[in-house]
Amino acid sequence: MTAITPTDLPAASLRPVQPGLLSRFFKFARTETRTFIGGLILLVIAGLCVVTLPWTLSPRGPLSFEFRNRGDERLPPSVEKFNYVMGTDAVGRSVLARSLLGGSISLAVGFAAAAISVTLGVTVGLIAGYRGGWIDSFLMRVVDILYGLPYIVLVLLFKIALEDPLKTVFAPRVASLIVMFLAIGLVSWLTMARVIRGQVLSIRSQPYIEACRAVGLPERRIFLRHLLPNLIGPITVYATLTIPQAILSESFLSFLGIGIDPTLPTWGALAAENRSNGLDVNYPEWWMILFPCLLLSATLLSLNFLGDGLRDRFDPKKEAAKL
Amino acid sequence: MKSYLIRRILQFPLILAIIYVVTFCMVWVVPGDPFQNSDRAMDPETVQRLKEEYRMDKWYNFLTYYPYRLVVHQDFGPSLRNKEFSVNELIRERWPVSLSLGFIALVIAIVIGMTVGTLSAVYRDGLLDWLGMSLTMIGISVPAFVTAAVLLLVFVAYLDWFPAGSTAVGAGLTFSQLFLPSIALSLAPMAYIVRLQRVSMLDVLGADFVRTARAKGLAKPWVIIKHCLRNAFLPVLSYLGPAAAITLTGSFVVEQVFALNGLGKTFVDSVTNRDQTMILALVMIYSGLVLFLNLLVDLLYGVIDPRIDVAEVK
Repeated sequence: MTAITPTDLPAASLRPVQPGLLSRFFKFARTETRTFIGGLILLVIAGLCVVTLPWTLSPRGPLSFEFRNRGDERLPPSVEKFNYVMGTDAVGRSVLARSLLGGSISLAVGFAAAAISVTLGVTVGLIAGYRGGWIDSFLMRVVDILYGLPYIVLVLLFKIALEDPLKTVFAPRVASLIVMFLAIGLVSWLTMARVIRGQVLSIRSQPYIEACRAVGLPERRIFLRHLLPNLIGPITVYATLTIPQAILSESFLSFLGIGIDPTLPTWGALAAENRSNGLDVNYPEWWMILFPCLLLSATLLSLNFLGDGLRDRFDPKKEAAKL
Repeated sequence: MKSYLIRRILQFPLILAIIYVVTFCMVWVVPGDPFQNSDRAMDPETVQRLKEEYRMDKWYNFLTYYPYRLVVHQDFGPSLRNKEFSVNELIRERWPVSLSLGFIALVIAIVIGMTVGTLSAVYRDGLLDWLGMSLTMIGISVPAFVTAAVLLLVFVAYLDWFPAGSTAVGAGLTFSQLFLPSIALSLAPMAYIVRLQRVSMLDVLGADFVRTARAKGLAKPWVIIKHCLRNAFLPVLSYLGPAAAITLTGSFVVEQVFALNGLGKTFVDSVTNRDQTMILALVMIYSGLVLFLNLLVDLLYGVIDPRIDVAEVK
C-alpha cells in the first residue's frame, strides 16, 4: 500500500471519472454482496417460473403441469429429456413442470399477500401515528388483541369465511388462490402497522416537521412531502421481509392440505404430496421432494438476504437481527 | 412494585374477556357448523336436537352459559366434534405432549442460541461468525416441514438412532421419542436467538464499561460472562415472551411429521371442523399463556437489569 502524498489528491479529484455502468454494477455487487446475491437468485428463480408459464399452463405440451406419460412413473432425474431433469412423480408428471408452475403460484400468493399486508399495515400505522389521540389508542388496542390470537387460527378463520362468497364470483381454482392471499395478507399486517406507527411518531417529533408547521404548510403537504418520503425506507425493508413470511405461510398451509385447491401445485403442496414417497427408505425417490423444497428454500433465503441487505442500507442503526 | 403486579394481574380477566368475545364473534360469523358432516347430510331435526343438547341453538349461550361454566367450574364444555370427550379431557391428554416438546425445544434453543450468538459476536467476522450467520439464515428460511422431514430421514431412516414409531399418545412418550421433534421445533427460535444475541452482544462489547473491565486486567472470558452476558440478554428476553407461548402450545407441522398427538394439531383440526368450544378453549389458553409470559418477561427485566423499573414506565 502506497502512502498518499498531498500532491496526489488534487490531481485525482481534478479528473472526475464517471464510472461506467459495468464498473458501478461490480462495485454494487462487491459492497452489497448479500443484497446482490439475494436479488440475483430471486430474479433467476422467479424469472424462470414466470417465463415458462405459457408452457406449464398449456394443457397438451410435455411441460404442462398436468401432462402425464404412462410408463414414465417415478423416473429418476435424467438429462436426456429436458422435462425430466427433475424426474417424474408417482403418476408420471414432470416434477420440473410442476415445480415451475408451483413456483409461480407460491410467488404470486406471497407477493399479493405482502402487498395487502403492506397496504393495510401502512394505512393503519400512518393513521394511528399521525392522528394520535383516541384513534391511535383504539387502533393499537385492535392490533394488540389480534396479536394475542394464534396466527394459524386467524388465517384459517379468514379462509373459511372468504371461501364461499368468492366461489360464487370466480372459478373454484382462482377463488382458492384469491382466498389464500387475502387470508394471509389480512392477518400479517400487524408488525408493519406497529413499525410504521413508531416511525411516524419519531418523525413527527423531529424539528423539521415543527418548522413546516411554523412556516404554515398545510397538513396535507407536510404529510405527503415531508413525512411519507421518509417512510419509504422502512416500508421497502419490511415489505421485502413480509414476502418470505407470506410464501412460508402459504407453503405451510398447502403442506397441511388446507391451502390452495389441491389440483394446483405449489411448492408446499408438492412437498406434501410427495412426502410419503420421498421419505420411504425402501423407495428412496428423493427427487420428488428434494427439488420443490430446494426451490422454496432458495427463494426464501434470497428474499431474506435481500431484506436484510436493504435494512442495513436504509437504516444502519436498526439491529439486523430484529424480525 | 406490588401494586404494579396487582394492577397487571387485575387486567388479565378484562383482556381475556375481550379476546373471548372477539374470538366468539369470528367463530360465529364463519359459515358452517360442527354438526354438519361434509360426507353425509344429517336431517335437520337431528341437527336441531344436537344443537339444543349442546346449547348451540341460542347464540347468547356462548356469552352466558359457557363463560359461566368456565369461570365457576373451570370447564370448557364438551367438544362439539369428538362428542365422547370434553374439551378439558382432550386438552389434559394432548397439552403435556406439546408442553414437554416445547420445553425441551426452548431449552435447546436458548442454550445453543445464546452460546453461538455470543461466540460469533466475540469472534466477529471470523469463521465461526460467518458459519453461524449462514446457518441462522438457513434456519429462518427453510420451512419447518423440510427440516423436520430431513431430520426424520437422516436420523431415523438412515442412521436408525431413534425409534421410528412415536405414535404413543399422552404420557407414554420417552425422552428419545421427544428429542428429534424438539430439535425440529427449536431450529426457528434458535436462529432468531442467535441473531438477536449476536447484535446485542456487539453493542455491549463496544461499551465503555467493557473497556474499563479489560483495562483493569480482567480476563476476556470473565468479562464476557460476568459483564456482557447479563447486559446483552434483554433483547433475547423480550423475544422469548411470545416465542415461548408459540413453542409451548405446539406446532402443527412438527406434530404432523413426527405423528404426535399434540395441541398444535388440535388447533388446526378444531378450526377446520368449526369445533367452537374447542377453538374458544385453545385461544383462551394461548392468550392466557401470552399474557402470563409477557408479565414474566417484564418482571425479569427488573431482575436482570435493576436500573429498569417496569412499574415506573407505565
